[in-house]
Parts: sequence; C-alpha cells; structure tokens
Amino acid sequence: MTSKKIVVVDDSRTARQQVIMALADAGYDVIEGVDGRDGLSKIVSNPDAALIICDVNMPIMNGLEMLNALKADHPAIQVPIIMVTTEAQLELVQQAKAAGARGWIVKPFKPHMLVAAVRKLVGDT
Amino acid sequence: MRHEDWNQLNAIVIESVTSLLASSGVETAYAGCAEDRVEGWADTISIIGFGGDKLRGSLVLSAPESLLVRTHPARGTSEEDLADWLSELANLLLGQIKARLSGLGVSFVMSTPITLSATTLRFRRFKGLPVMHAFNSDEGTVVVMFEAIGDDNAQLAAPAEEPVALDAGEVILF
Repeated sequence: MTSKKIVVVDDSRTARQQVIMALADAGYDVIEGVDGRDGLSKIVSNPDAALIICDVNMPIMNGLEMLNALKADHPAIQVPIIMVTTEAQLELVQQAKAAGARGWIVKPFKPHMLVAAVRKLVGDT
Repeated sequence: MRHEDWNQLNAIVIESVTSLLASSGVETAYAGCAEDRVEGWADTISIIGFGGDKLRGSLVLSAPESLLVRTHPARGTSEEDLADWLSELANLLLGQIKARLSGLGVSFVMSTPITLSATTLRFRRFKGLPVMHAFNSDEGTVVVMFEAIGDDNAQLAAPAEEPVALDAGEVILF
C-alpha cells in the first residue's frame, strides 16, 4: 500500500525534522518546504498530497499568505491544512480558519498529538 | 509604560523561560538580572525582534551547547542543527511571551530569528532598556536579554476575562 503524502512547510529545519520524525514513525511520506513560497510550489507539484502542515512566521511568504495564495490561485487544490506555530492568538486562529485551515497546533507540541490530528484529518482513524 | 508594567513584563519573561525549558526537560533556577551582564554568554546566540503599537524591541537567547544537544527534538548534534535549534528556541520563547502579553492587551509581530557565533560578545547600542536575565541549569547558564521600548502612554491592561490565546501544545481542529 502506498503511504499518504504530507507536505510540511517550516523555515526551521529543527521543526521540520521533529514533524517528519513523528509522521515517518506513523507511516506517512513527507515533502519539505522551507518557506511559504517554496511550500506553495511543493503543494502545486504534489496535488495528490493528503495534508499540508504549515508554520505561520516564515521569511519570503508567511503561512497565512501561503494559505490565501493557495486558495486564490489554485482553488482546485482542496487539501486540508493544519497550522503548527508558536503563534497562539485566537484572532490569528480565526483568520486561518476563515482562509480555509482545518486545524491549529501551538508549538512546542507533543508528537502523538500531532499524529492524532493528522490521522483524523486524512481519515486514518 | 509604568514601572510596575516593566516589572510585570520581566516576570512574564522569567516565567516563559522557565516553563519553556521545563517542557524540554530542563529545570532552571532564576539567577537574577542585570542591565549589563558580560558573563555566562555562550559562543552562539540567537536574536529575534518584535514590533507593535505598545512595545517593540528584541530578545537575545544564549544557551550552553550541552543543553541544546540534550533538548534537540530530532536528536541533532551538528553545529548547524544546534544553531537552528537555538533559533527555534528563541522563536518559541518569544511566542510564549507574546501569548502571555496578549492577555494583557499587548500585541506585536515577531520577526524570524537569526543566530550568530562569536568569540567575544559586547552589546554596544540600546534604544530601549535592556534586562539580562540569567538562569542556572544542570547544563550551565542560560542568558536571556529582553530589550524593549514601550510607548510612554501605554499600560498593560487588566488580565482578559476570556482567553485570547491558546496554550502551548494545544491542538484545535475546525
């Protein structure tokens, strides 16, 4: 059986590694993006991805800008997105929700909590 | 900002450092603050800036290499791994300070962090009031400089009655 593919977008290599370790242990394949612009490119070139995990504060293009660009420029791509970030303000959470995000996780997170959220959103529960 | 606001701000910085390091398995004891601290800095530091209507400035974080190795979430040990982790720690720390301050009516935008290595560190120019906090741990000294400028007329608000921010580690799905 082919593993489901997840795009992880974060400018911190450590943060990406932490997410990748958790997802790989749970049997998912991961594609990395290093900022919002790179992440958008990876999402567009992997339309079969089952989920996107995205940071908020990143150089070049931040996560909310990436979310809005994806919605505006690639409306056919309907992949669930979870924001994983140090930002915790409910106002930002609401902005992400309005832009189409399906979840929000505040760093630092417990890997099993991330995996549980991923499984729920990709239908693996 | 008023003197008591600065005291409250510094208490939030101390609480945030202690809680963040505890979540990585490192217990710390607060070792005091000074306006100019030259001891205890590691060779590598991370700097992250912030800016908002009431408060703007920067946070500088220094932690011993052994602490970074012990707490690295992906068990990284290379120089590049540890520099990136120090940057992420500065980002996490400012995120926790921001979340606590949001309940007191202070909001700001965070920059992305940078990490620098040097053999000798001197801080030469301050716009705001720099406070250098030291924390003892079994891996050595952690130093956090929080340098901020507050609007003269700004005050910290009374704690919000309803939560305005999520807690660290909290997960919500829509």
